[in-house]
Amino acid sequence: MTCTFARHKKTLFALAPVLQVIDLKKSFKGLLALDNLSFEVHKGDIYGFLGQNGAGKSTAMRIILGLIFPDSGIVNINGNRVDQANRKELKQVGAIIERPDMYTALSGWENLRMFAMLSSRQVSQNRLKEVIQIVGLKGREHDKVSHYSLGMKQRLGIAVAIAHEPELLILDEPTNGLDPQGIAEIRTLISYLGHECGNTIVVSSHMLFEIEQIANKMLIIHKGKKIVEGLVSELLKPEETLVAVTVTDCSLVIPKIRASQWSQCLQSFASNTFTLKLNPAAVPELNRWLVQHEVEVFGITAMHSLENYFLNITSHATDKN
Amino acid sequence: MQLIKIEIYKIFTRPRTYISYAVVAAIALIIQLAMYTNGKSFVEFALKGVNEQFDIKGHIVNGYLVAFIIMQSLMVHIPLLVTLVSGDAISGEAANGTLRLLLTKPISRTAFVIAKFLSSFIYTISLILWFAVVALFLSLLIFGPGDLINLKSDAIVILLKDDIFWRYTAAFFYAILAMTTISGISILLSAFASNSIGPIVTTMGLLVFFTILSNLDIPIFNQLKPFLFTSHMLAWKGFFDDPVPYASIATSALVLVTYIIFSLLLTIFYFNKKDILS
Repeated sequence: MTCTFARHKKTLFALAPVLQVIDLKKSFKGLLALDNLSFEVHKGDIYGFLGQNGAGKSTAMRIILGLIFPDSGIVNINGNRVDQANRKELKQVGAIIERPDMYTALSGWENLRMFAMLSSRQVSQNRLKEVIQIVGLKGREHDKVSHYSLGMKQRLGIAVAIAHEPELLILDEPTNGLDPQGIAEIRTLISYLGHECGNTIVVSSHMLFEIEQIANKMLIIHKGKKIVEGLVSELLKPEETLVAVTVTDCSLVIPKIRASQWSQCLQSFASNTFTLKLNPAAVPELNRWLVQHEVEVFGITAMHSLENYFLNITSHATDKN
Repeated sequence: MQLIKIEIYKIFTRPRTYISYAVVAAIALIIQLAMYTNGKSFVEFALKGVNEQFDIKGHIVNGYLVAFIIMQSLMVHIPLLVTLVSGDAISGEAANGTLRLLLTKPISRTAFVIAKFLSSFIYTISLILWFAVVALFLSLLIFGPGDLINLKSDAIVILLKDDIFWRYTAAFFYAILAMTTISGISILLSAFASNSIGPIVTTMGLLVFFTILSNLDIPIFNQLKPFLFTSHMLAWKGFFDDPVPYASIATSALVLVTYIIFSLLLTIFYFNKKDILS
């Protein structure tokens, strides 16, 4: 695959964020969907946007793209405000919002050409052929979209998003509804666009594992509020790994844990499983301690993943609310 | 301009668009066939009362008369065909999910609505032109030209064959205006909906409801009639009167133009404030 992205670098504003979202607020019929959401995405970032269903991810993305109007707040792209009066900055954005819906009576090529014409940039035939190649639709581009599988439609959606060589890609749930092979293909494609082509990407997904794999920064949103934001590598520090311990009866073990050096690590417990937040290097020591205290252990599982982190952090946010 | 080109391209790549052309052609051909086989007896029946007082002779079943009969029959139904395309203009995009993608592009919503209006307008022109071809030119080809007898409820108007063609031209232009009104109302309703059926059925419902109101001779509705677009849709018939009631036609045209402008402005106003949630 070849790559000719990032031709439109603005060296003058190299340090300015590509995307800046400031205090976005939006409610639907009295229900608060976004509550003063702010974040910044810098050039070259692959920015994971995480949240449960209904957390406000799609609302935020739709506001960035001008599909929804915020009650208050500002969206800047390359330092220029984007709103109903000024949509020309959107030529620097390529997007997929939820499903990859296209004109099914037209071919993939016709759809691609048509949307490229609307991008306010000159897109050559060669460039269209190139993106068809990049997304792996070569040979099928002249088939009607009605004959495409969901995975092919999604790849066409990505082709439409990148055809005009935008600086910023916004991909809302790009793997939604795909089979495992399709998910893997799209994940590889996003990684390629971000890591190989240097695109700035904001991606949301239900597949949190994917975000862990492809994003360098992430934001967790819950009930319209930003819960946490930062580098994935820092947020998922090994010392904060969750370890699940399965025992016969937690009611017998938890008092011992609380009276020990492990009490600070205790996160939660149920009937026969409790979780501790600790460094994986401490697991053997924990195991020894449990044996010494005559606890019958059925299993110890380190749960170092974004999913656990995410569930942990959103459950705390729920508790606070 | 790019947007208008694309919108026209989309209209003419949809099978639904061609249903209208097929329906117009089918109805015109059926009437032409009927007039070809039973035209004389039809005209004799129609002129039964007149023949008792006047002796009407000549090439009565001619292309102009057949075209006039087709126009009378079809001009009531063409609005329904226009609605099939225009009623789907915005809501169809919302239902298909393509509205989302379109509006992420750096195009203003006002430009988008205007492109929808203009592309529907071009479709309307093409439909009326097609109507002119199959109703008028084909009838002239089959039946030949002749004087036109316009039988009204209270009078009979005979137009000489050399004085007719311009009347048809004017009538077709007026028909474009009338159909554009329907198109504008359909697009307005289309902006409010996120499915295709709603605006199409609502426009058809409005058309039927207002047509009934326009034709009811009940005093309470008489004050309302001048403001209903349906009261002005058939003003093209005035071009086949002698003398032509230009003032009345101009008033009707003005009402329709007001409807078109109002529909366009209201669509732009509403659509510029609408959250795209589809």
